[in-house]
Amino acid sequence: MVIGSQSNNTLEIRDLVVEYRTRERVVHAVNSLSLTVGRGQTLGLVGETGAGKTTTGLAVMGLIPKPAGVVLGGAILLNGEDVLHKSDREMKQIRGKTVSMIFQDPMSSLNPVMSIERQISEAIRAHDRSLTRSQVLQKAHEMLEMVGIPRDRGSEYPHQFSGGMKQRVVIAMALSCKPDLIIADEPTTALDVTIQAQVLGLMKDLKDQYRTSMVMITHDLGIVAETCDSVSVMYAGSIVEHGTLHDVFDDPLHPYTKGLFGSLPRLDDRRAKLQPIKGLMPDPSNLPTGCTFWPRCDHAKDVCRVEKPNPTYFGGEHFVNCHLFNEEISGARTVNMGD
Amino acid sequence: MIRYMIKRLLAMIPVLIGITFLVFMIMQLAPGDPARLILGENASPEEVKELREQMGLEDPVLVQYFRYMVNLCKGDMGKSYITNRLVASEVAARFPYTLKLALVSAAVSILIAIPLGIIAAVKQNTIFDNTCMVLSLVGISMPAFWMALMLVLVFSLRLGWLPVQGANMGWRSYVLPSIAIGFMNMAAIARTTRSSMLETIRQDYVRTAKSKGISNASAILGHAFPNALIPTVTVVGVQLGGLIGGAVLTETVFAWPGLGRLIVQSVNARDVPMILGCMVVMSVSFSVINLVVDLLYGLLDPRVKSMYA
Amino acid sequence: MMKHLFRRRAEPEEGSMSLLQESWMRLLSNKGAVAGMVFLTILVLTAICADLIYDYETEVIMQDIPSRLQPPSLKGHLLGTDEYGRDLLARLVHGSRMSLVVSFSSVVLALAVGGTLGAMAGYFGGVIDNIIMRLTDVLLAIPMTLFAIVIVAALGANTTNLTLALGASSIPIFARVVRASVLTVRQAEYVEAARSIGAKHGTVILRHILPNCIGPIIVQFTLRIAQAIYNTAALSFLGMGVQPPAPEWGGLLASGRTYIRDYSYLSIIPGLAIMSTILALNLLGDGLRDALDPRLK
Repeated sequence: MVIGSQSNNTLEIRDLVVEYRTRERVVHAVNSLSLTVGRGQTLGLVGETGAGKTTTGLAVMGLIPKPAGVVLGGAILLNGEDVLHKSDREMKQIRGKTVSMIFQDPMSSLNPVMSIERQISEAIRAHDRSLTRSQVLQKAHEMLEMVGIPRDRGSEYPHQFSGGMKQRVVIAMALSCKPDLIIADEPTTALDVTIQAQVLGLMKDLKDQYRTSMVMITHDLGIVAETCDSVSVMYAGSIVEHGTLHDVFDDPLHPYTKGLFGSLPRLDDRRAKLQPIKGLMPDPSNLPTGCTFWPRCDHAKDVCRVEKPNPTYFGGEHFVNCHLFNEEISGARTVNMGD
Repeated sequence: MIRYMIKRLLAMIPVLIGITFLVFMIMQLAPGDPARLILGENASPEEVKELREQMGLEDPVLVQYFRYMVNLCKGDMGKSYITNRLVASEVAARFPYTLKLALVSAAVSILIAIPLGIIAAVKQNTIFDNTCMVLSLVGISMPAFWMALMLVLVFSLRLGWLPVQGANMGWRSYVLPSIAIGFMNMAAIARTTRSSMLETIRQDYVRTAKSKGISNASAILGHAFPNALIPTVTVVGVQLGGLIGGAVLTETVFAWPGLGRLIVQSVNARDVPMILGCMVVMSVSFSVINLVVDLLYGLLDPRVKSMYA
Repeated sequence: MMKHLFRRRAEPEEGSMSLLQESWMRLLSNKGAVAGMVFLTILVLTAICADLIYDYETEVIMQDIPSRLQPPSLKGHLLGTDEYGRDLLARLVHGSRMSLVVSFSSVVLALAVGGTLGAMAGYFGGVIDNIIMRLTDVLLAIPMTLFAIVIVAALGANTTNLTLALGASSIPIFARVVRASVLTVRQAEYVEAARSIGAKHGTVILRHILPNCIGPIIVQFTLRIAQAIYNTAALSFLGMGVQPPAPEWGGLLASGRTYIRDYSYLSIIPGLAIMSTILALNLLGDGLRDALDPRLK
């Protein structure tokens, strides 16, 4: 079961830095981001639009759009092996087989002029050349049935399916080679609420069936609560808080995380006013110095504008990158490091 | 699909009736008396009148048109005023030359232009791309008949490699005319292929394809290209249609024994039945090309196909 | 003139620019389009001033047999002389006038007739739309060059008939373009508003609808002029257009063709003139399309 001696983790990202360079400006999409996904675990990657979540997913896939996108540093360990130093050929083997991605918009992520069974077959054949044509098709049909689409609809084209059905096709495609890791990039954002629940349920079942690890990229805390084991909150290209589902939901620490929860309507106290986070995401081509959140933070102090905060641990894997905690509980880090 | 084809074929009929009617009426405006043309200046007015009655020229125009259409359906396009030969057999003898030339140049230009367009799109903003684009811009601006003259000047007169004109030297006769006709098409097709490839390469489904673990090349050729082909086919259709009309000029330069040259000769000789015959055949070919393009859409794009299923 | 244009580009006005100004800025940032405009400006000025540069009767038409077929030289005739000893440059300069006048007036004609038909079809819809569109279907099913040839064949070969023929063959294209544009703006609220306060049909079309489909029309106009230049030259080349001794580029090419073996400049130079003009128009047309509708890029 354990492949790399050093890791029981399917995915480990360390200090990843990604930039998009255009003629006019440099967009700092991912800034020294680190995260870990344990075997069979689901990590929720939460943040606003533009926080760099999708870029992180694409970096793992080796699909950062070139030439604008540049990975400047860090490491991405898949089963203990760094994918940033793989050749194109090796990456081809990894994509789809070790890690696959479910994209946000099922309407545009399927090829409109290719039947869905061919699109699934393509994924299967890319990683198993020994199968005959009919075996591949057979497998593709099995995948379709697994996501609840009758096999005789396989010869149809994407436009003949509804949005939810298309996303099922995409899921079938992503799972067709039984990858170790699935990166799901807002898989239900483009779908109706009722369909969302169906698709999420399906993904959860299949994940458990295959013991697949998953990164669930989303801005929807409800989805996180439903599907994830742990949560990383992302802001302006780096993680500001991380912990198990319970850590983060029961005891959110970072002002930004608290803000995210404050932006949700509450059922237990409907008279409570919504407390949206003031301001907007900073322009990623012109990030503030120090803590990137300080311009929107009610608790910002002088140090926040100058110095980047370090992680402060609160038992287990729960940590927060915030000066408030660096100072207030300065002993906490050493005490809890041993866990 | 077959029902759609039949529907499209039926829709061609009124258009063809319209074309023949229009051309027939325009030719009525032509000055001069065909009977006089046939009999010569020395014929007496009585002889001319007799021949006019024989030819049915004394009847109302609409009756003449109706008669022409009835005969056309039987495959009879009348006789030439000048040579007295059957228009249908003359046109039938010339048409294959025009068609062969059109097919050769179309095939060559498509086979060269599409790969060029794809490579230019993949290597956007490189020297290769820029060179292709400048050349193709010049290509769509260069009059085919001038290009024909320049090709003759260089390859026939200066270098002596290829025949100056005519169609009787096997494949060598085809080289210059098909380049002259095909170059502009090639340029136009390459430009469209490039711009639609630039669009499809960035589509999400190409990224999805790559995420499955297929190679970059298969993602581009297997996913981006089939989608880029849809707008390209439109332009190919327009260009092929242009081949028919453009044939008039290149055939004149190369003294090519096709329909284009025949129609120019007939216009100069005021040979109305021959002009009509050529126009009918060329317009029908033009409509058939458009029909084929429409049917190709159905094959290339399942969204179109299901609209007519 | 160009200096003035560039100065405006260097100092964009403060605040919001109108849509037209914005398009104009985009057009000026397109090198190809600017090059095309410069070329066309020079060409049009040459055509307008043709009589000041070369006298039509004595330098363009009058034969001078002793100095026939002189090759281009810096001392004598810059671009050489033709088979009747006439200066090729003089004939080219006056020929530009001929090409431009025929092309421009034929496209204006096509725009006027086709535009009216298209606007009517798009605005009224129903039976009128159906009749007009079936008519354009028929016209579009005839290859354009051929259609022009047939008209010239019936009416006789001269400059007026050539203009008519070229104009007629461009009618369906303008009808289509204008109809499509009208259809997209017809439903707009300001049109509804104008109609609801009882404006006449003609007023609504002219005042409210046409100004808003001007973009595609300008683009198509430029590209059609290029096509018309080509067809003018083509028909004259076939002897069905402008008749000698009047100079026209296609006609110059046709007569130069006889001497192509030994006096190739007579064929090369007129062709270059035709090609550069079409190229300039294509560059400008592409630039206009990108400038007027960035989405189409």
